[in-house]
Amino acid sequence: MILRAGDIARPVDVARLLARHGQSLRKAHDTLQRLAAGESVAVELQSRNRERLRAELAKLGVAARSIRVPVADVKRIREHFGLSQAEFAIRFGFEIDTVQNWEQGRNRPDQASQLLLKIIEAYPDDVEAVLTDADG
Amino acid sequence: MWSAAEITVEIDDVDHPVMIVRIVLPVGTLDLIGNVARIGRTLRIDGAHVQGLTPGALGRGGLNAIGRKLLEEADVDEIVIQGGARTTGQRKGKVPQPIRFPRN
Repeated sequence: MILRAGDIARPVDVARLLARHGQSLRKAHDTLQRLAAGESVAVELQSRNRERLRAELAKLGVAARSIRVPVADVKRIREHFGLSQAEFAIRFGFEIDTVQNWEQGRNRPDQASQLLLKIIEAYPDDVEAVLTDADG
Repeated sequence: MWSAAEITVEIDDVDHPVMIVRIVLPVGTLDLIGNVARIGRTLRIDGAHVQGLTPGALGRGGLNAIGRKLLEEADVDEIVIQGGARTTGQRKGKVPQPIRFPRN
């Protein structure tokens, strides 16, 4: 989850709640300190009911957003740009075999690749700029 | 203001050096979380956050009474409380000045 503070009238209860959901008290205090300083804080909290936890945090003045790794459809993204597999691979820094394996279902992109593919889909020019900047 | 006998201090939870302390006062209960360290005869509480009383319920006199009680409980000559960045109000996000309680 990504946490961000609104007005926290009961900061000690925020630390207690974080500690009840898997953070050590020391870590919970650190999280509270960072929230108070205006940072957004990524935390791993344990809960069988995420919505209830989110509601409890909201009641204490902490907005919580869940992190979900998106599922990317490689072929659909590639075809959206009208590129062949080879062109897509070259343009975005993949191995051609990797793109073929993804599309043919022999392998699935790992989480980082899924995220990169979704970023390519949304911001292709930015990814290209990063890749070409890396060349100098 | 209140005497030491009218104030009780309980440690509610500890994960060294972080502590939650419950301070029971005639006007209500104050919970405090902070990073507690004893350096010589000084007790430092850093990144302190409190909750439990309405604003103004404590006043400087109440704060001093708590300070005296903590000096007695911790058996130190000085307590320095450095609050964490404020979480509400107009000065939200700002770190307050430290509060010092010397033994007189």
